Amino acid sequence: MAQATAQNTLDLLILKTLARGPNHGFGVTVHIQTVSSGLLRIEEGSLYPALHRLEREKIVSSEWKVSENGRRARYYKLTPAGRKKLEEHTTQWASLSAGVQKVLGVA
Amino acid sequence: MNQWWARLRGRDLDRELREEMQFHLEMRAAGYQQDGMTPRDSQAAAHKSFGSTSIIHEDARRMHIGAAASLLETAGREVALAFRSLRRAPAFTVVSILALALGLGGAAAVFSVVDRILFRGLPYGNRDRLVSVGVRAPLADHAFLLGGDYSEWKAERAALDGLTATTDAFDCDLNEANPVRLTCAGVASTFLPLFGVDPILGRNFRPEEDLPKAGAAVILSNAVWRERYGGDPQIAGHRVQLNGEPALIVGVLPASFEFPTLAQVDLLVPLQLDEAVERKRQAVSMVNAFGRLRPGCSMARAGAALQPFYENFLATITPSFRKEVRLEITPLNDLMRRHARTAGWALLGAIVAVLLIAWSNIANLWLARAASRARETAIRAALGAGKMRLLINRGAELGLVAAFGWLGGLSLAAGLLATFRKTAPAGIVGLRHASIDLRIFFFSGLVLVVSILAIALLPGAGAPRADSGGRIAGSRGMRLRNALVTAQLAISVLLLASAGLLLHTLRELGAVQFGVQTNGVATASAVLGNPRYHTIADRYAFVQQLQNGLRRLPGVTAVAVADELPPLTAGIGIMFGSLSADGRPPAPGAAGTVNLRHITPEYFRALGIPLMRGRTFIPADENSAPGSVILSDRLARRLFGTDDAVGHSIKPNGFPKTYNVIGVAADVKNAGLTAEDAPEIYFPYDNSRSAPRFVSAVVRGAHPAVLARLMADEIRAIDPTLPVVVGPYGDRIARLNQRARFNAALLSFFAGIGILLAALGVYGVLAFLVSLRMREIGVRMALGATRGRIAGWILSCVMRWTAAGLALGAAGAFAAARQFRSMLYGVGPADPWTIAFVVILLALTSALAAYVPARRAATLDPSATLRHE
Repeated sequence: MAQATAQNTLDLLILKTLARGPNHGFGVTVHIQTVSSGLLRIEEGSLYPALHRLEREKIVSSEWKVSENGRRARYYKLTPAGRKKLEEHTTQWASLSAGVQKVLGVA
Repeated sequence: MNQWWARLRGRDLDRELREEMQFHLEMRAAGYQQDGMTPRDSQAAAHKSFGSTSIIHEDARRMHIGAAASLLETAGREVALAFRSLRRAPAFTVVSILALALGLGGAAAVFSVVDRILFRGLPYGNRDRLVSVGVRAPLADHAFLLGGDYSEWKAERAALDGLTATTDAFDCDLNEANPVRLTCAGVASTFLPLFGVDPILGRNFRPEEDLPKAGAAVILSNAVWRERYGGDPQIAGHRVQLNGEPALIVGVLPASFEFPTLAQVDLLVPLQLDEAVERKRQAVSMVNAFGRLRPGCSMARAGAALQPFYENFLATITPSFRKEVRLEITPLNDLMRRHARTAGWALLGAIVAVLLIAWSNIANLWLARAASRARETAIRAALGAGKMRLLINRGAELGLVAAFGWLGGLSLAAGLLATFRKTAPAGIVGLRHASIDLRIFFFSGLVLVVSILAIALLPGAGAPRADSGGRIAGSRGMRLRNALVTAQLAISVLLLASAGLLLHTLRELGAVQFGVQTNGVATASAVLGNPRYHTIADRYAFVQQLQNGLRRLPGVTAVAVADELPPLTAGIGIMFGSLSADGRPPAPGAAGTVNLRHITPEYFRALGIPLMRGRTFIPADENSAPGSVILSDRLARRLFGTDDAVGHSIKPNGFPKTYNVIGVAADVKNAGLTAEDAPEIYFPYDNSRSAPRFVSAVVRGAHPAVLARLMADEIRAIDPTLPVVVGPYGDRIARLNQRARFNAALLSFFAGIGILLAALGVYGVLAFLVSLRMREIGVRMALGATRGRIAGWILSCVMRWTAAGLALGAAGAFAAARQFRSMLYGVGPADPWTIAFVVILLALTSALAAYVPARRAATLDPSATLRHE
């Protein structure tokens, strides 16, 4: 359960980032770190395996493109299945988050 | 689909991953650099924050290709890794593969020959029940029957269910557009069926073709059929000119056929024995008889059953001859392998020795390598490489070396075998048919697997122990390696000593004094079997014409013709006991045979044989009555003691006239190179008695090689259909040495490999010792040991196990040489000089091999060595 949730959370963060448009792995870490104001730092050791797993599950697809600084980089983007997955994950996360907050009595 | 593609292109996937990580790292480093870090620090920081790229790598891979395929992929990667690490150590790899290929190749080639000599059955359907049946007498080197006896012995039916006969192989001529001298053998029409051999084309001889005076028929050997008649499937029914007479080709023999005497036989012709005449002893032929035992009949029973027949034979011969003969029944298996058996075992021994040396060499290399890589192994293990993986890695390296070694070995074997076939003398059973077949393929594969497994199972070589770290290189491993080198040296001494004895034999054979000055003599021989030479007068005329022609050749100082030249005879002999001197009968019990040779007057001058008394023949001696003969010194002394033989007379039993002794010639070798000589009588080559069909002309002159060619032209001018063999006298002798030369060459080849491998072994172990003790040497030097002392210390390490190996080898050599005594001539099996020479040679070789590492140890810089760790 814990494992599944952590993984789901990472997936959700990746998918959400990619929903803004195709990006490479490094871009994903930077985006998450910036947007979360440095609160969330993605381990590279988890990011790439996750990206590759998502690609295998056909939730994201990848292609080699030239990055902003002129280097070849592997860009990931959401597939239609990915968009659906993102919606599912978002709703799940919202309800989970609401539930947890209620339990903790924070809200 | 994508995954399959990715799996197929595993390397691309790797590259992509690496590139992706690289990009990430660079971006991260660029970020740090913007924050003010130096480029170097920023890179280090990026790496640090990234963590282990290899783990990501591994995870990503596992994800892409699934866990099941991962082991296969791991194995594949380890093989690639093994390949790379072998390539990084080219000397080690090449030596391993070379040692394996040499050992395995030699083993496979020799085994393919030895296999047929020692282990496979003869190429006959009824091989196990075939026996040679005959009488053994000093006249011939193998058992024979007289034609009349053969005819009578055929009646024996209790022990034998068939008796058949052949002649020895003899020269015969195919007189066609391109005349050629071939080897024929006469066989009874019962021969092929009794031996269980079926012609592959046509048929066997019919009984009526085997009758006296039936027309000539011929069965071709497979080789003649293929090479001379292009494998024509319609060949049966064609006619050829055999010895100038038309002969009908009736069949073709299978390729696997071997004549029972192992002579190379090109054509079989019907025996056509006139049994009625032979039984009355009006004509006496010698045949080789072969019988087939009834199922379950023992040799002893066969002997008992033939005893009455043998007694009948004894009754027909003179009492003095009776003592010298005995009945001999030999299984064909033993008979055919008799010659090659000793050589076969010697070869097998040699190849096992080479294999052992090669093996211990490889084992040693691997032990050293495993020890020197103990640290690498330990590190890999610490980094999480599983034991399985390390095993796979070692296995992959061994396997790769083994595969290359096998390939190299098999090609080497094929090459060696081709060389054997070209250089080997006749009389090695099955050699012409030996090939690298499936059996050899599996044999070499088995040897390979066993040797590789044996190496892998050596403590510390194959299976790495992750926990033992640097301890593998401890004293136990060193002792094992030293023992291996000791064994190598011992085996090398054994091999080299054996080769040395054979080379010694060869030299002795080459230096055999046969009483003839062979330098500057050219020879030509032909057989007058053609109907053109049917009468004695025809043959006499040919010889006269030939001599006249040869005298006209440029630079010729002497010309002679004889039926055969020393150290051989034409195979005609009489019993010493049948010779009466000065009219008195021979002393009772006189044993042995006397050779007869027919010569023309200049024979002694042409061959440089000294005439000790009297004179040589003159034309007046031809057809004179009483006749004239020249005796060999040995015979003269035996007949007349210290008296001058000239002026005495002799009469061989059954000869029509008495002969006056007109001269005595020095002894010559006349029973082959190694056999005991026989006394000899020279008759003039005249047209009174039987001018022999065999003609060997000798010409003494300045350029024997040129003369030989001119002789061939001269004979062709007289008779263009007569095949002739020409060459300097030396070539003739060389052919007699063929077997000894083959044995010596083969064993020397193996000994060469052995010594090379042994030297490599000594070098490898010492070099390893030095690299292992580098620190110790450094400490010793720092503490004041001189360079000389260090070198001495290293050399003393060699000395002990070298000395042990040499001593063991010398002892082994004494024992082994006793086993192949029959292959030696002029040297004893325990020849101290040969063994001493070999021991010194190998000691020097090991010293040379030890020199480089010892020197390296002595020139080490102690401070550098000590700082190294």
